[in-house]
This record gives sequence, C-alpha cells and structure tokens, in this order.
Amino acid sequence: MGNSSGTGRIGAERAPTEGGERRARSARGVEELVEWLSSDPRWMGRMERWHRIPPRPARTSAFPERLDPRLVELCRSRGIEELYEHQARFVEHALDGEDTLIATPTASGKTLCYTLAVLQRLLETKGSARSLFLFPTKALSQDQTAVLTRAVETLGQEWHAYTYDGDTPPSVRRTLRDRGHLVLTNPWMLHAGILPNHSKWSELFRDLAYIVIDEVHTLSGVFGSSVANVLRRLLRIARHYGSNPRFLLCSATLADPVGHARRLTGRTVRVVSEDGSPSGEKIFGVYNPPILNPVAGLRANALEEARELATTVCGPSHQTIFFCQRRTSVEVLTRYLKESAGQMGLRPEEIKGYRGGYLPNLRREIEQGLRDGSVKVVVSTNALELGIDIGALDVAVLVGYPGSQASFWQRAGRVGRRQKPSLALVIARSDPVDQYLARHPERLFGAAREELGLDPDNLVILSEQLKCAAFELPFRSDEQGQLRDEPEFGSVDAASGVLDYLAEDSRFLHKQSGTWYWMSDAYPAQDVTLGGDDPDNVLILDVETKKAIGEIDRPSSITTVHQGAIYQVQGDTWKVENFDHKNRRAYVRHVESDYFTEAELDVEVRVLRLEERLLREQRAQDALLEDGGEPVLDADLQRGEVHVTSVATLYKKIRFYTRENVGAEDIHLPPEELDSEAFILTLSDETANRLGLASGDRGAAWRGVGAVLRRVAPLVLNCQPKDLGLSTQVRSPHFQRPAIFLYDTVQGGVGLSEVLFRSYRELLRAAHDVVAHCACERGCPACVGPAEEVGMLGKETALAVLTHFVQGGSFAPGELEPER
Amino acid sequence: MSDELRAKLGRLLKPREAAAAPPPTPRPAVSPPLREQLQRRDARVARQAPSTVAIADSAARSVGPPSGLVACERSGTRARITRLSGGSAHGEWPLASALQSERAALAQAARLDALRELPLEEALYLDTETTGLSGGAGTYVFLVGLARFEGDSFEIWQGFLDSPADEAALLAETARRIRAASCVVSFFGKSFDRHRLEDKMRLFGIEPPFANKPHLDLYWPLRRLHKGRFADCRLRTLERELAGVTREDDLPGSFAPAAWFDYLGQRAHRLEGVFQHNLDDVKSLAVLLHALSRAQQSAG
Ligand SMILES: [Zn+2]
Repeated sequence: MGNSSGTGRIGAERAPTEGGERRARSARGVEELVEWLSSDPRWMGRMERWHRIPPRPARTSAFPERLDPRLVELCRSRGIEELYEHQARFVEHALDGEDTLIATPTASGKTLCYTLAVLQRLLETKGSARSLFLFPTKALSQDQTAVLTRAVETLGQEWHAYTYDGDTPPSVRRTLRDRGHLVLTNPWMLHAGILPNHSKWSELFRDLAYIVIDEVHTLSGVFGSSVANVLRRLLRIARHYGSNPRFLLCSATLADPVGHARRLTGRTVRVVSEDGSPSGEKIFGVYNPPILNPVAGLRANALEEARELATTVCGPSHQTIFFCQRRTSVEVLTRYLKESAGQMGLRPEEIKGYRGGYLPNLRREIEQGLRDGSVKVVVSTNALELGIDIGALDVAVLVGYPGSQASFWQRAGRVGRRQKPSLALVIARSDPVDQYLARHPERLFGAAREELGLDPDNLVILSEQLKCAAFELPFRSDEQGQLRDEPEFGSVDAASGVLDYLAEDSRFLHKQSGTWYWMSDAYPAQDVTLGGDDPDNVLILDVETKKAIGEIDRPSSITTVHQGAIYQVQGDTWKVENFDHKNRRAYVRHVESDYFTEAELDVEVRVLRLEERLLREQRAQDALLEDGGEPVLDADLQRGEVHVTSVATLYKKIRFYTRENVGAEDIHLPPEELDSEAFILTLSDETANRLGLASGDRGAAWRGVGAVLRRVAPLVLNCQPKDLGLSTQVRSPHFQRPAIFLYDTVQGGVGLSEVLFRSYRELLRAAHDVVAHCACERGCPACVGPAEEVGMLGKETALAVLTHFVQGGSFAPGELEPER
Repeated sequence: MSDELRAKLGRLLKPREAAAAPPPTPRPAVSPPLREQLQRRDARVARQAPSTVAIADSAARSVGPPSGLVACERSGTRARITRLSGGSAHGEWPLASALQSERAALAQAARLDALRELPLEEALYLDTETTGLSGGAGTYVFLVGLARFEGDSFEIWQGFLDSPADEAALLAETARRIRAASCVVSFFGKSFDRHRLEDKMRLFGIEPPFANKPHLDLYWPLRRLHKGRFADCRLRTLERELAGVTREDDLPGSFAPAAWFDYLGQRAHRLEGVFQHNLDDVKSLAVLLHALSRAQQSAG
C-alpha cells in the first residue's frame, strides 16, 4: 500500500567514521547544495536555469462512505487515516462501475486507488470477482503481488494473488488459473499464453471484474498499438464467457488522457488528474556544459560533466540517483564514482550501479539498500524509472534529457520527501532537444505536451492481431459481410476486409456460411510480436565462432552490415565479409580496423494518397498592379500515405579520430520498401528562391531544415528520432516544388504523422528556436548539422526558411491538389 | 473487401510474408520460456514426431466427403462406424486379447488402483486427430476415434468434424460416450488428447468427462517397463516390438491437419488415410493393453 514516502531516513545513520570529508559533508543538505551550485564560480555559470516548485500540503478526503469498513480498517492499520482527494475520487468512479484513468506523478499513491477498488469488489461478491493486472515489467508485477497478498492476508480472506509470467512453474499454473482471484501478468504473457488458451482460464474470464493496467503512458507506438489490439481480444473473450470487465488505468501525466485511453481501450474513461498528495519543495536546475569549440558549437560531454558534478552533489547525509541513457554509461560512471568515493565522504560499497541485465537478487538487494538508506548513490538506466519501490531519494541527476516529458517526470519524481526539499538536475547534451529545453525549462514544468502515437487500426498490426483473435474464437459476419456481434473489432472499418484477405489470399482462415474460422496448424501468437522486435531482423554471425554477436532491424541493415561495412560493438570492430540479404544473415570477422564506414542512402518517397492539407497564400508582389495580383501558394503542410524506397548506394571509409576519408565503394543491395504515412512541408518555388534556397547549397540547407524538424519532433510527440524517417526533395516530382517528408518508419504507420500535422505550430517554432539560438557559427550537430554537411550558408538559409514558416502568416485548411 | 483495401493489404503484407519465408533460426519471439515450453511440449508428443516415411499409394487423394459416414440420430454428429470381430488379429494378437488382460497387473503397472475392480469390457479406447500440436483455442479435434467391445465384436466409432460449425455437437457426443465408459485407455492421451478435448469442451460450456474417470495411459507404464530396450517409445515402435503390428501405407499423423484443411477447402484430400491411421492407432491400443499386462506379470 503506497502512501508511505518514508521520513527520518536522513541522518538515521550517523557514522562519522571516514574522517574529515565524511564529517564535513554530513551537515550538507539539499538547500546547501543548491546554494553552493548557484554561488560557487566553478558551477554558477553552468547552471543555466533554476526552477522551484513550492512545497504543497496534502489535500485529503474522507474515505468514501460505501467503502467497506474492513478496507478502511486495512488502510488505518497501514497508517493511512484519510485518502488524498485524487484517490477518493478514483475509488468513487471505479465503484460506480466506470472505466477510470488516474494520471498523476510518481509516488502519488496510485497503487492504493486500484487496490481498494479491486478488494472492495471481492468483498462485495464474497470472493467471486476476479481481476487481471498488466504491468510493463516482471519486477513490477512481482512487487505488486506481494503487496496484494499482504492486504488479502490482513483482511483474513482466502483469496489468492499470483504473478503469471515466464518464470511461473507449470505446476503452479493450474492452481493459478483455477483459483487466482488476482492475476498479475504482462502484455506478452496475456498475448501469447493466456488468450490463446482462454478455455483453460475460463474461471478467470467468467468473473472478470477489472482489468488493471499500470503505466499506460508506456503503451505507444507499435507496442502500444499492438497492446490495444490484445485488449480488444481480451474483451472479446471475456464477453464469450459472459463478463464485461471495467478498466482501471494508471499513468504518468498525459497530454490527452481521454484520447489515449480511448485509442487504447476503445472506451471513454473518467480521468482523475489533480494530484492531492503533499510534497516538499522541489528544486530543478538545468546544467549546460561549457562550450569547448565555439565554431562547431560543441559542448563538453555530459557523462564527463556528471562525474565532475558528482563530487559536489553526492554525500553521506543524503541519497543521490544518476540516470544515464545507456547501460555502458552506467558502468563507466559507477566505476568512476566508486574510485572517488573518499572525496565524497563515502565508502565504495555505498555506491551502486543498477540496470537491466543484473540478476534479480542483486537488484532486490540494491532496492532494499535504497529504501533503508544504506545505499547513498545509485547510477541507473531507465530500469529505475518505472514504479520499483525504492522510497524517495533526495537528489537526481539526469545525464541528458530522457527523450520525453513523462520519462523526465518519472526520473525527477524519484526524489522528494514530504517534509524536505529535493533537487533534480538535468545535464543538457549537444542535442537540439536538450538545448531547447535548457533555454525553455518552463516547458518541462508546464502541462504535459507530447502526444502518444497510437494507432490500433494500423493494417499490419491489425491483420497480425486478427489472426490471433480468429485463432481464439471464430468471427461471424452479417448479410452485408460486416462483423456481427463484435463490438471491439467490429468498429474497425477494415476488419472484415482483412479477415477476407486472410482467408482468400493468405489462407490462414477458412470462411464458411458467413463465419471465419482459423484454419492452420500454426499457433499465431507465437509468431506475432507486440513490439519493435521484428521477426525479420538480421542476425550478425561471427564466421569463426559461428555465434550470433548481434542483431539489427532489416531497414537499417543495408547501411550498417552491407559487405565491407565495419560493424562496431563496444569499441570492437568487425568487418562484414558477406551479407546474405535474402536469408537475413551478416557474416563478420573480428578485425583491428583504423577506419569506420558510413553508407549513403538514397531515399525516394512517392506520394500515394493525400488526406489533409493546410496552406498559406500570398499575393504576388507586383507593384504595377494596384490590387497586388492574384494570391499564389506560399507554403503548405500535408499528410498522407507514401511509399518509401531506400537504396544504399555507396559507403565511405573514414579514419577514426582524423575523420579522413580513405576510400569509397559501391553497395549492391536490393532496395528497402516501406508503405507508410508522412507529414509533408512544401514551399513554392517563388518563396524558395526569395529565401536563398536556389543558391548552390540549396539542397543542403533544405535538408538541414528537415533534420532539425526530425530531431525536435520528440518535443511534440512521444517518440525517438529514429521512429521518423526523413526525405528532402528540392524539386519533388509529385509537387513540382521543394518538399520535406517526415514519415513513420513502421509499415503502415502508427499515427505519428497525424500528431505532427496537428502540432505543426509547436514543431516549427521549436525548430526555429533551436537554430536561432544555437551557439555555433555555421551549423553543428545540435542544430542543422555541421557545416561540412549543410554548407557554409546552410545554417543561415535554414534559419531564413524556418523564420518564414513561423512568421509568414497563418495556415488555413485548404483543398488537396488534383492528382498530377 | 474493396479492391482498394485488397491492393493495400497486398502491398503492406506481401513483403512481410515473403521476407518471413526462409526459416529463421530459433530466437525468442515473445518470451523465451513460452517458446521453450512449446518446443518441449512438441518433443514430448513422441508418437507424432515427424516421419520420413514416403506416402504410399493408399494415401492418395480423394474428393468429397469421406465414405461411409452416418449421422447420429441423437446428436447429428457424423461418424464412421467399423465393427471388427474380436477374434480378428492386429499384428500377432487378436483384438479381444485386451479382455484377457490381468486387471491387477494393469492396476499395478499404471499405478491406478481403480482398475482392479473395473469391468474391462466396458473400457473405451481413445485416440484423436487434431489440427495442431501446440493446443490453444484454435486447434480443432476433427476426428475422435472411440472403440469398445460389444459382445464378440470390437466397435470403432470415428466421430468426424464435417464442418467447424459442428464442433460443439461432436464434443458433446464424445463427452457422452466417455462418460458411459468404465475407464479410458489411450497412448499419451493423458498429456495430449485429453487436454485438447477438455480445452475445447470448456470453450463450449460442455462439462469435461475426465474428472474421476480412471484413465489408463499406456505410454508411461510401457516406457517404464521397457526402458532402454527400443530406440524410442513411440506407438509405432512399441506396437511393432510388442505386438508384431506392421503398417503398410500409413499416413503419418503430421499430414492430418492438411488433409482436413484440404477437405474443407473443397480440394482433393487425404482424409481416407487419416481415418485408416486413426483406426490402426485405436486397434493398437487394444493389443498393447494386453502387452502391458504381460510385461507387468513377467516383471513381477
Ligand atoms: Zn548549431
């Protein structure tokens, strides 16, 4: 039960044993740290911004009247005398039988919300109501199973809470299926283990009252779109057994909670989002590393800066957490901090690394050490971002912006006790988004801005999931050939068409008397994955040991493991001897290479169908005509379906360190084909000429504009830059004018281009801001790209173009151009 | 389906299906434990291990419904019924030798005390053909072979799923027949056939008949008693070694799913071979029951 945030840990351990440094530092709290960082000459210039959120008292509410007295008693026995307002409101909605979503920050007591609702329902039904819980990680479901088991024991009931995951022994599975009142699992097990074998779980489905899903903000992109379909399957099977479960959803703060929940569950949910939990003062600081090379705009490395900062912000009297982006960074930083433990008044064993890949026991031990205060410093990946209970810490250092506002808040939310101030520092990297946020930290603290791309109707995902669904239960059609009595999939226009396709073209199904039956000896859930791990990844094999040393997605393979490529793993270099493109195998040999390779990719985007358009017109500037001439197109924004062909043309060998080009060779591989959706910007030729795009560097500057747009997209859309493909055309064959395409790299698209289209204003403004304020002279990796790529006038021209987009007047819905 | 949608699906899905054609090396697709579990389960189904036996002429394809199907008056289920004299031989033993088995020996071999008191002549011999080995709701049990002794004859009822729409009826009739028997005899059926039937029965709300029904699975005790003597403990091996059964023109079980899919798709199919294969399996159960009794008695 999660209202405790633990007080009195600081100073609980007074062991001034390590001499002066430990003694000197043990008096230093968060306030003193902030004071030091903002006044010491070494740090003050790098602390770009400070932001303080004042302490906030709790807003509480009495227990809802209809809450069973035994549950009130249970809360009291845990020291919870009242609920926070948001908890009470959530419980009320849930008990009203509404699908409910709570979207509040970490540590606001979300777990208690669904726990009370679920237990109340069990009490009301004398133990017959069952609930299914989905967590994004195994560790979370195991933690929650323990919590629920203790609650049930306190209530003196014979109910059972079980974790069902890959580790559950087969001998326990049977008991769990028949007697598990609370089944805690993850989307993968639900998809591949439970749903295809639903008749074994008939007891659960017959009485399924609640589907609890934690961390729903992590459900976006391909994974989220797949999970949305898994939930359609789940509801469908529940209906078959006669139940109609309600959703209880938890999330970090979301930009559009109702929309996200609707796309995910198909239901209109009640949203509770006002956080009533108390907190101490929260202090945020943005740390911008010093500029090392003003021409190139390069700043000092963020990880190096973290090392340096650590000597100031770590100490024996408080707990500090570092968040790194990569596992290797965790190891590097942990080793360094252990070596300099003495300087910080710490013992090496008080400093721990934490990441995926550690054994569960070790992880539990570190979590325990964080809770009881014996671990003073932890260096982690996002593994500690999601709900694991480690209590509240004091100082968080984020080495780089984690890529989304939700992640930022989850990491920053790891610090903050009720009575004491806490500090979160973000170290900005030489990256457009980091630098943008360093200038606009208010953006981090305001309302949630990024939308989640989620498209359960993506045809590729839908058809894969319809295979799984048809395996589970046949589909029936009405006289018009549409789905009958299928509220979940029936609402999807393409569903019956996809089923026909699966029957007629791929022969997975058999249609007879208006019913589609699964008709194959395959077990589809085994072949259908939920997330990015595409089954046609390319395997990278060592020719000497015959072992796989890595894997890469197929679209990237043509530029990274083509014959002759140097493939790098953790500093080791391997040369690709042979790339068997057809069978998706790359054979490599370990070599000492003094160069790396960079492949060039020709991307051709063909417009298939346009769906929406915003445009801007201006009157031709003709002084001789009094009325200023006819309005002509200036610029427009569109979205639609595209076909993308990528061909790897050649690769360059580039010497390490000097970046000297030591040769180039052709690549002979078939093109990669992708059908997807794109967000498109175009400029009229007249405008392009006026802005200087017509000069020699025209293509490079236009490409620079595209590159910035792609890099800042994560500000408006929860995605990574690699989720978006970029193609720039100085003269688009389709539009006959300059065009930039930002396309979804998932076959069929998962709604990213639609979000970009909706959020174009913010996207363009952010791109403009990044280029206008970048410290470099002629372009750098933190804005349009280095001058060697965009040309000497590249940055200037790109800025002129972006300024024109942002300041040249407003866009209005316009008609699509006729097909050419 | 509109032409536009079909074209789009073709564009989106074709490259994927084509790319998926070369067999990828085993890799964790969803969760490694599940895959391992499935592989282990497949491996356990020893009798259905892929066979390299060439398909003989008798397994030739035919068109249209299997011959000799009769509709059950009560349930409408279509079945082929074969009556054989109890004295007719299967390998070196008459089918009726099953009735000469020592119940005490069987009970001891199978560690199933209930067998001591049961009327052996009311036992039901069970073997099914399914569309997949991995189970799950989308696997069909499309042929249920159930045999019992009726006076002097051995009657084999092969309930056939003529259309996927008739599943509930076939399952209900199967459940009724099993419920009426004194016990069930199978080969690996405790681990396989029973679960496929139970899963499907629960799906249709039919009470599975196996609870409290003595079930003698010949696989486990025969394997124990003959451990190490033969290359493997598949049904094909044991029936040959212990009862002298040799099959000609047997259609391997792995061809069963395709035969049924072809039939439903109104293509030429090998269902006749599947019926014969299932019939032979059931007959082997009878002679192997006696073989188990003998083995236990000689083991003491
Ligand atoms: Zn720059």
